[in-house]
Amino acid sequence: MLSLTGIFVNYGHVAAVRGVSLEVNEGEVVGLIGPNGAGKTTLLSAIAGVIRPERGDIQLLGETLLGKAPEKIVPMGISLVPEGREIFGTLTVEENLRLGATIRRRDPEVAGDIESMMERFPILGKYRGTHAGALSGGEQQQLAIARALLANPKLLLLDEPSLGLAPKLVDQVFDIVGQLKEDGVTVLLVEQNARRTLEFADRTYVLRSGEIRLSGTKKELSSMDNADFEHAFLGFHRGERQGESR
Amino acid sequence: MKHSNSPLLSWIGRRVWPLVALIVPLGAIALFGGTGSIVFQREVTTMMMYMVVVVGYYIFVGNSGVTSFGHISFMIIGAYTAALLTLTVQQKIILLPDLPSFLADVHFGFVGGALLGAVVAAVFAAVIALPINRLTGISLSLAMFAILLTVNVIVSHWTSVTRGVTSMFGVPQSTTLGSAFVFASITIVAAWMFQWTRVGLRMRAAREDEPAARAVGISIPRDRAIAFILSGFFVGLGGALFAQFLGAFNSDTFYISTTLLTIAMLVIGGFKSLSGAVVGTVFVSALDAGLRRMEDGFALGPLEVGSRPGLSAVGLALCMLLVLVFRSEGLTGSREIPSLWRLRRNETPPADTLPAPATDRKDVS
Repeated sequence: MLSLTGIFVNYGHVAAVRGVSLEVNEGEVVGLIGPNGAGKTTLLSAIAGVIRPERGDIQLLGETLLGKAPEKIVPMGISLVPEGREIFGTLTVEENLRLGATIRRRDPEVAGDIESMMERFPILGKYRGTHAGALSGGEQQQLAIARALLANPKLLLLDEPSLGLAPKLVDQVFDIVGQLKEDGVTVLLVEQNARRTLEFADRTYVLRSGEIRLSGTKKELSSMDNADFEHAFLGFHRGERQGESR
Repeated sequence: MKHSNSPLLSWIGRRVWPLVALIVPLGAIALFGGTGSIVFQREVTTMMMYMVVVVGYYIFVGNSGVTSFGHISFMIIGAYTAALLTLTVQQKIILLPDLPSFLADVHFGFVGGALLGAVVAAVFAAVIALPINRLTGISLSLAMFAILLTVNVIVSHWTSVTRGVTSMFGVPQSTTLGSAFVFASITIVAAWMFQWTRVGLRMRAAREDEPAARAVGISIPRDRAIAFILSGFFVGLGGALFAQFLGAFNSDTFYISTTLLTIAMLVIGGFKSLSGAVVGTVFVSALDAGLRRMEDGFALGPLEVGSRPGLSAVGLALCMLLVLVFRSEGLTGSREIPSLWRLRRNETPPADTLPAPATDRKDVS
């Protein structure tokens, strides 16, 4: 469905992403994990059209996304839930949701979809008339996801949805991701929370210093030796027993 | 106040009440103005016409968050169009002998002149809307300033149509206090309704967070172009009303000083809310009129103050500085008038009364 081939992204003279190729198939939840500064967000930004890669190609269902502005990529079926939950704080929850359906102009089902989104995330229904900026972090994350889903995306890009959330809320966010997976939504999930991502994702790529160091299905990665996995993730061995990085 | 759960009451509270709260006091000012001296009446009428211009200006600037330094070009176009259409055919033979016949042979009344002035300004806005709105931020502000300079130069030199730098005069002085108030109210209602359309909502979202807006698929230039054209219509309407109020004007009547005055009105009131545009216009008009009277010299008890030319300009500049330093979001804090009813507890805080996010608020409330 989505395929990246040999993507290079530079920030000035710094190479942030170096020759990354990856594949997301329909109905899959694909994880992309790696430490800080690995280039995960850069890669998502390139897919969403926010930044332009130096080299390589990004295709959605055989059509290239290169050179397209973000607002042109959304109608092609890709919705990004940006890092740090960029919701519109001074607008109400309901207005935020309506904006999520921006590209579905004159679609009579939008109103109904907004209602069912409020049933799916009850907290949003409860606070529909409230300023989105007044919601808590976890609630804002739900709003950001709901808003992205209202564009009826073929592929949902989630950028560190658990970032900065309390552990209980992290569970909640992963529950939502699990639910999306059951609903058959294709998801590319970027996370620092390696353990939880490995649990959820059908396949996971490990990105470090702008390169893919490791990839595999849930089964392959979970049967892997802990130390080898850590080496791929961190780039060095940290001794025998060390909890998974988060 | 009792809670209200009915959607209709909530709708009235949020959508109708703020409009009533703006227009009714304005009507009271108009009524009060009508009882005053001729000078006072003219001052209030001028304020109502500025209301049309500033609220029209707000439709673009307030919703997009991008300043334009050239909106007065729409006013110039509206004013000259209205003048050319409301002068009688005989007057035009004398004043503008070289006028093209499609202009020379037509004559419209007050409302026709006002509306066609607005339409021509809107058409001009439509022509430049797309290229201009590909720009953002200061580039757009300055591009609009360049448009203003261009329009001014054309108007100053197109003698056969505009009489150039010599005055256009003899325009029927048909704008009254009452009609100016009616047009001001129409403009306010239009601006308020626009704010609640899909385009208005998308623009507010883009104003707040451009990357996030693009990430949900909002095409910012297109939405801004729509607001730009609507804005051009109402600023043009304001110009057309001014032309039919002054009776005589030339190419420099609506230029830099008008630009500065209208920007001051919007900024002092609070440029991100309609209430700000309205309050700013009333406040600055009153201040300007007061200072102008003092410019001729006045007596304060035993103290005789001589003539102080330029007092109003200095006063206005000072006022703008104070607002920018101490209340950067304007007198209204760029907020709209809160809903009439308190919403239920689980819906609090109501969106319309919440302050702007901390990042762009410097004032302490």
